[in-house]
Amino acid sequence: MKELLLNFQNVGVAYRKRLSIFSSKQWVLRGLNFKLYRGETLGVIGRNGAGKSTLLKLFANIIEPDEGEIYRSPNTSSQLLALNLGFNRKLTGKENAIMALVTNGSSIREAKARIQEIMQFAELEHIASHPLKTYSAGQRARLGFSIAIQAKPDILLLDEILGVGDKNFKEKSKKLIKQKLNSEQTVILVSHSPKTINNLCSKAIWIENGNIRAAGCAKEVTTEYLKD
Amino acid sequence: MFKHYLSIIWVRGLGALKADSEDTYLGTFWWVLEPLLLTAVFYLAFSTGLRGGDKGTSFVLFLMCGLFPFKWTASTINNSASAISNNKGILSQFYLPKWIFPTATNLTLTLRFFIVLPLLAFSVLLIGAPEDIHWLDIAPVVATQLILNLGLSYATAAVIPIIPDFSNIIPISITCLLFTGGIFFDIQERPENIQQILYLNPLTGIIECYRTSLLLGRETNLSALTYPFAFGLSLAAFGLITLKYFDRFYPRVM
Repeated sequence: MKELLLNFQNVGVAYRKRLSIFSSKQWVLRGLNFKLYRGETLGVIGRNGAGKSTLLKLFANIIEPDEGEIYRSPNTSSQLLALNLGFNRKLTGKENAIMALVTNGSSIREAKARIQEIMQFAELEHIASHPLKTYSAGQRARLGFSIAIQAKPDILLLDEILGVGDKNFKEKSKKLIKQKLNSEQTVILVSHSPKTINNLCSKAIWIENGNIRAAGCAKEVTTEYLKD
Repeated sequence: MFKHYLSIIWVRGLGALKADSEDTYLGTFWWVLEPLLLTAVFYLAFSTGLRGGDKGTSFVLFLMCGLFPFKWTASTINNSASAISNNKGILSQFYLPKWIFPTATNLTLTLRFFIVLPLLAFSVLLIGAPEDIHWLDIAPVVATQLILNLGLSYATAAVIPIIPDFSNIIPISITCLLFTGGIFFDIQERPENIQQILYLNPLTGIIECYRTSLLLGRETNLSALTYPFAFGLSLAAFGLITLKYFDRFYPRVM
């Protein structure tokens, strides 16, 4: 039996519609029940506004539910892979990378030791000491990806498969993500695309209007999603 | 874990300090220039104003002892208001305790103050230091102001995201600190009952202590620091408890 990492029991999240004490609450997610075991790749599929972003925040342990309970296996870290790492445009690529690595969990010494390899992977060595504001959007995304992929959380959260940069780098980054998906890494992948979920995930849940519409084997869930 | 948080504060605090110095032609020079310009403006306005008697170099020093520390506290409050929302990107990816961010703000601004402080000391020496000056006398004053700043910072950072309405009060509060802090007038020349009210401003006692040690060369009266110290400590406790309580609520309202 694999280790249980997450267990959602009747979980719900509500937001106030407006910033007013008289405003009523609106449920964005409600009555969610499911389990996640170590090593699984769980797909979450749903249309815009279905509650996927809020669900990601729950997975990442950034917010707490308003009802229900979430069991988390002790000392389990989870992290969303994102390219916006709170970069400071005035600082150099290298300085930003060190700041982001330390914020992401490295010690200062580790961050400094790994910086060269990261700039190399991002193909940005030649401009490592230039301020970030001189980087193109693609270069910034490459730097963001190269740093983010270093993180080794117990549960990796992906909001769509990130392929960034030009054609070459896109291939390189996609390959790296797929490697992670196929490894022992526990992954939750959120996507609009049934094809992506079907190809990469073993299990899936379909979120609609804040509820689970279907759950189970990825193939079955995506087939049903396509029928709808 | 705690050690890791300290590393985050260190790199982010230093990073912000460095970023502060980029992007302008004069860079770090502005850290010194800005308080000097502020002093010049206040000198212009008040050396002939109010009672018309405060002129000359001693009034310049008097102003510097008030304005430099004031600037430190004012910037701290201003920057803390957005300390959490400025880090929205990071905070929507993984969990970090929120006190890290106002603490990093304090690190940045304290280091900046430590760059300005020698300028104050240099001016005191240049214009004429009291014979029996003990530079170390200002150590407890600086420490007390740091505690006060941390308190104001945690409280501001904790409350503003929850009740954004308070952000409208910040400029007024800072002006209030400025006008009631005895920064450009000597509080001892005010009537007794007014003095009592002015001493409610925690900066008032602190600024007076800077002056007694730097301008008069007298030993710091620690009892004058008790109130600002207690004020800062209770605000810090309030701020930290609030930050902890709403720890997982902030990402919802950013």
